[in-house]
Amino acid sequence: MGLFDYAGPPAATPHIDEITLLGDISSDDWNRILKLVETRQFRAGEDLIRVGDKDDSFYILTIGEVNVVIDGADDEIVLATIGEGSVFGEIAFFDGAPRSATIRAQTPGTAVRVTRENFDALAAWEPVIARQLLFDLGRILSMRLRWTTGLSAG
Amino acid sequence: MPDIAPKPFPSYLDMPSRLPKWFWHGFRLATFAVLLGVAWLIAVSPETGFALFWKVMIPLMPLLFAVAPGVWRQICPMALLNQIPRSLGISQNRTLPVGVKNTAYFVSVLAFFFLVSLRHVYFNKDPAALLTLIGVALSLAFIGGLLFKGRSGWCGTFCPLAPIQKAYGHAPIVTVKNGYCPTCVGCQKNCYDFNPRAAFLSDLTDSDLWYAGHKKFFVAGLPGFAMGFFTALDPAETGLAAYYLHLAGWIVTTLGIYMAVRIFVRVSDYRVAALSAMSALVIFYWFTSAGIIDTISHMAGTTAPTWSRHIFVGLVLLVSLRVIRNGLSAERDFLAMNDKTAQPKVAVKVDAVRAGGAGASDDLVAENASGRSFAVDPGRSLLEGIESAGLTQDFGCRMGMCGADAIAIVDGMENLSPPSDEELATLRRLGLEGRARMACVCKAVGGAVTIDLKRDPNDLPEPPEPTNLVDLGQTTGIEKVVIIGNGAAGMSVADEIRRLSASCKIDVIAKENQPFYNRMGIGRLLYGRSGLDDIYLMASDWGEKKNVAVWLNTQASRIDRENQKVVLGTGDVVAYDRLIMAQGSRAALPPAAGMDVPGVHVLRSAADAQAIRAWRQEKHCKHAVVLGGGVLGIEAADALRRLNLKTTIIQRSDRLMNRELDAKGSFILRNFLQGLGINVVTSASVATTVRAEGSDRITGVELTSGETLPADLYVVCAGVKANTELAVDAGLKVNRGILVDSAMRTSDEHIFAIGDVAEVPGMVSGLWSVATAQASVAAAAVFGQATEYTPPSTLVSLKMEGIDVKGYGSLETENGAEEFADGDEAEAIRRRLFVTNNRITGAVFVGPPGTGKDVAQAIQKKADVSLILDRLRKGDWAALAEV
Ligand SMILES: Cc1cc2nc3c(=O)[nH]c(=O)nc-3n(C[C@H](O)[C@H](O)[C@H](O)COP(=O)(O)OP(=O)(O)OC[C@H]3O[C@@H](n4cnc5c(N)ncnc54)[C@H](O)[C@@H]3O)c2cc1C
Ligand code: SF4
Ligand code: FES
Repeated sequence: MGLFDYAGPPAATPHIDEITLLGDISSDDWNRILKLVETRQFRAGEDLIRVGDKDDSFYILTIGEVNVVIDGADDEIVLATIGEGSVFGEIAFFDGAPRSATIRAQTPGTAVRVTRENFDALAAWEPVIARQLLFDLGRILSMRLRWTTGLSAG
Repeated sequence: MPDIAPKPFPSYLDMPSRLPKWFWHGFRLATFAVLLGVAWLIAVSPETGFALFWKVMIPLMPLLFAVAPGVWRQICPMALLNQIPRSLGISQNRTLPVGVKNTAYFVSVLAFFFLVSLRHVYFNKDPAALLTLIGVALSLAFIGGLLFKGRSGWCGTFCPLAPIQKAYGHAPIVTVKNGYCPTCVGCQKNCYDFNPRAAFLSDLTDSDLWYAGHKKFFVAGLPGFAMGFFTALDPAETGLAAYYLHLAGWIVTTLGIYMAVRIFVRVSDYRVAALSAMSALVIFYWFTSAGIIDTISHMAGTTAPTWSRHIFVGLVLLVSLRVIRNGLSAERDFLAMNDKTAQPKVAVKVDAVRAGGAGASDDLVAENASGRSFAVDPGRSLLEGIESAGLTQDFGCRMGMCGADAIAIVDGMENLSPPSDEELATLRRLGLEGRARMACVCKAVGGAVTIDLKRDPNDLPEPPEPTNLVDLGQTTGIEKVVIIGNGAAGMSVADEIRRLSASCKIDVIAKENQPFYNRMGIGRLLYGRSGLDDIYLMASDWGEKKNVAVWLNTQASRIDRENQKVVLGTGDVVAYDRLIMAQGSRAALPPAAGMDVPGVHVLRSAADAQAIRAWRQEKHCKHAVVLGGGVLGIEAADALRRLNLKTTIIQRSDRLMNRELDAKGSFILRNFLQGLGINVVTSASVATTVRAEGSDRITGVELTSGETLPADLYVVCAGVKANTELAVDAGLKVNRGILVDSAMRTSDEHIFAIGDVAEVPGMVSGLWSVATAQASVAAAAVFGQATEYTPPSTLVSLKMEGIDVKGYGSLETENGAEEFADGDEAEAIRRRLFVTNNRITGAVFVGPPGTGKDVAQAIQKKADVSLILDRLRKGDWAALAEV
């Protein structure tokens, strides 16, 4: 959302501030998805993602809070805090490039981890859900992209 | 709709209209009328007119700008004229060129300074000049409206009053909705009418420093300009040059102060700008308050006391403090919004996900090498937990039998499920009882556990060895044992023999140039990054420690039974008291033509896997064909797929895994594979490989149907053939494998055969679990101990991520078995179970991961299912977990 999106009257511009990942699927569907993906529990201070790591997974944080950090010489710089219900790591899921920052747990918690391999299996078992998931991830990416470019364009 | 927190920066579209339209229309017309009235007064009675205009109306405007700038923007007579063409629909609605958009502000700033400076010269005293000024301003506003769209022809761009409104009203105490733009046409940058609270902030933080600089210049120079203006002497006396020098001096002074503050104090532009603007406001009223009060009281016919002037200035001070406070909070919101933390939120229905098992649990497994910890969901194995945590651990059978995933338990052994007989046997074989567990079959049952994936469990303190061990080698006089083959069978028997006799000399002759590795895991060598390291099953110093001589890269080429010697390919000769043949099997090649074309591969050894990986890279392969739709073929196809090859499986039968699965189970499997992009062709066989003319390697395979599939890599997984040649040459009885009795003895009493190479009456196996079970039997038999081989359960499972496929025993009811099965409505899952005499005698389980977990355990335990038959009849599969 930019502050100066001169896009017309309110009716014509539904502000999408929030995207719900797989918003319309049932808890049964979730159960089936969870069989195909990985659930990861962590302690405070643990690294979920390490900078430079190459792994093609994204995470859904279900419990707890994690920080995006950069480790300095003798301290860590927290760039951002990610809260429950957030999705992170989706860029590497798509491009497989090394992680650009470390994600460190601030509290104990749980995250669902979806690798490319998991996704392939999901697509094979539940093509409809997989398509929706991909689409939602695309929306998240584009929203985040707009958001970052929106920042610099004012 | 859920409650939405108020937006920190509502645009005018989000603002309520507090007053009706007609009110504003009336107010605008009234203001316009007042202006005309004053103009008339200036014309007819300049003294009163000037007093009213310069001493009351104009001096009160800055206060209005600071408190509620939106009011002025609603009622400004120039805005009224500017917007007439728009509301009549006669505006040309041109878009301001970008360059003009960006410079307009600067123009208006200069116009402001210049026009105000002319007050002392003309406008304060010359009615004609002032009236001209008013007239020209109104006309320009109107012309701007005729030409340009929105409010970009005047209000937000050229209007000399605009900069001062933005400066004093950068954080309005009262916001008023812009009433002129029914729809926003995006006519200007950082429009003050669109988002009054954010406009000045956005201006100052604009990435175009030149653009932002104009705003800074204006606010920085403003207090100086005010000082200069009010302290200037009459230019008529000093001369214009001195006058302008005086003004410029003041502007430069405060500009300098602004810059100095920016340079030396760690403070944002916005804060300095806000302070600067507000000091200009106070300066302004410091000088004008007396005039305002006097004029008003004079008009009212009284005289105001002098202190009222101080009260007035005090009031202005309060207003400016309030604006500064508003500004600080706006800045906070602005920074928070632009902070990466305040990213747009992506929501997941967390509750649904948690309910599905992704919830919290207190009992974590800590892994020392990585520092990670994770919880293992009830019902999941430690291995699955390790994998979920994103850690890697090699595995083979995933049934506790091969020993590939022995992991060091550093602490909390008591918090793991007790080992099954199979696992215990594996642990004993590896000498790891009490120190390690097979991750694939053990579960966390509550309480903390610490493991270490990088630690060789052999390095953990050894539990005290039983002291009363008899050395069977010494008691039986068997001093030399030779083993051919260092696979699962050969190495297991070597280990067991060493356990039974510390003194006996053991030689293992191994053709491959690799220490004992996990043959079941070689598919991962195709696509994995870690090479062979992960698949070795024994510590590198195992032979040394156990005093076993392993001859790597050495073939047994002949057996001299008479002299009890094995002749090696190197010319060396090794004598034996007992010989154990464990040379396994090799991939069988079908009789089809063209098997000698480069690009035809098999997948039996680590070297084969490495050759495929190398070939794929060297030849930039795109298409792979796998012959064989059994477990090996499918696993190979999956590995090739992960190597980014377009892969096709060719299966002779009408379904995949035809030996283990029924039609529906196969069908589900096939759908899954195709979903992954693996092409499956059934009821087909290969007539010949194809080498296109001019090519030095395979380019395709031709099916008996005549169809040709493109292939630059062809992997044959069409069964195995026991390596019986040595035995045949030595005159041992050989059928498909080397024939053995129930003690694994061949037709020569000094020679045993185990593993893939052996044939117990009726069957050659091809399974790891069989190899190790036979190794135990043979080890005892070597020293003359009577043991009887009973085949382990031969549950077949597909080792592939994302699907669970298990097949077992016979799928027939003729011999009196009772069948349990899902109805046809279950589309993506196949569960069939055959029970004879309360034991499971056959099963097909195909479905998403976890589908066959319980049944596999029940089968391995050889469980009595009598107690759950009723529940099974009702389709309650969960009952299997309880046997
Ligand atoms: C890709 C793949 C996946 C598999 N998956 C499973 C599974 O999931 N479950 C399961 O139970 N089984 C599986 N198997 C089968 C399992 O690996 C074999 O049953 C097991 O390895 C047999 O062990 P072995 O010691 O009898 O023979 P091998 O492991 O074949 O070892 C025999 C060794 O003897 C050597 N040798 C041969 N001739 C000579 C000679 N003249 N001199 C010296 N050395 C010689 C060979 O080079 C070889 O190293 C799989 C096999 C493969 C290839
Ligand atoms: S940018 Fe939009 S709100 Fe601002 S003046 Fe132009 S049309 Fe009106
Ligand atoms: S994978 Fe665990 S023992 Fe084989």
